[in-house]
Amino acid sequence: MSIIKNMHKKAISPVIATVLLISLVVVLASIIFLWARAFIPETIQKFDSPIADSCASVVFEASYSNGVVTIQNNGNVPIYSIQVGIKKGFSIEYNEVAPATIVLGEMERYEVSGISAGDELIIVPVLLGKTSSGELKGYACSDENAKIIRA
Amino acid sequence: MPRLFGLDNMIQSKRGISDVVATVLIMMITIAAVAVIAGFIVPFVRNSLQKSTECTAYKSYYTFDESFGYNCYDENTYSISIKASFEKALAENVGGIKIVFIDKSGASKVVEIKNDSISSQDEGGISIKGSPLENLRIPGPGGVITYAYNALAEEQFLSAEVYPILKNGRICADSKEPIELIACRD
Repeated sequence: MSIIKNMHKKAISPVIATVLLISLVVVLASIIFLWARAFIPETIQKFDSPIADSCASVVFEASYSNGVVTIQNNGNVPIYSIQVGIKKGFSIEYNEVAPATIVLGEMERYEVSGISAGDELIIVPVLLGKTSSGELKGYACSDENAKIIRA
Repeated sequence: MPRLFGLDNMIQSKRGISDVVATVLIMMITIAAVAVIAGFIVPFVRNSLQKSTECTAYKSYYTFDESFGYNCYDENTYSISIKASFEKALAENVGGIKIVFIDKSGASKVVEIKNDSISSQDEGGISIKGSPLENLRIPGPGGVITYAYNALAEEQFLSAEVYPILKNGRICADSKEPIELIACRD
């Protein structure tokens, strides 16, 4: 008798059940995606390849005189900015300069403070690349692509 | 028997809420539930996700620098050169450095460096190599600083690890890239 009674009980319709299941899966997938995305490092691209590849093609000359670092770009990769590292004692401190893009054959002068005569300067080129979200971002090349000059 | 019939009549004559009121109630409960989820659970989940992954970007933030030829020991003085990444956005959240010295038994000694903390050349103290009287500081973006740690007489370390300490106090000790400490060359 009770079995027959239970058979008349109405549950949620198959459509609602499907919608609920899909919603649950979408919410769970979103949470997992947001969590997992943080483990993937942001990549910066230039000329449709990782920007570190472009750093190897940077060709430039650097010189220093009276608080001014002069950069001459002799390569095809535009230099967005530079980082000037000053080696003092057993430490290196980098100074950031205002960005000014230097293209092939052009020269740019950057005023840098805190340099004393005889200091070793490490000039690191900074390139402009595009992140996966389309945002433009500066990327400092590695020490291998740097130029070392003496003040 | 008549009493039973009376009860049945009473139950059958009870009227529930109308379909419209029931639907409105269900909709209101649903809206309230969505509001609670949006206001509490979503920020909670987002915050938890952020906390669980905030150290990922700092995995190789500090590395041992070899340009000065240090990361070695001379008697009881351990000279360690630490280089920071150029990522300026990451640097803003870093509040200090944790250096872990490990001896042959696997026991470790932890030394923490924070900006403007007092340097010391005493046993168990740490200072900036070449500027022992200066307060301690951490390297800025791209920078390198060589520290001198004066070990206790009984301490003999074989390797060292370096981790960033974030401004919220969290130590990002996910990466384990120890450097072997060798005797310094003259």
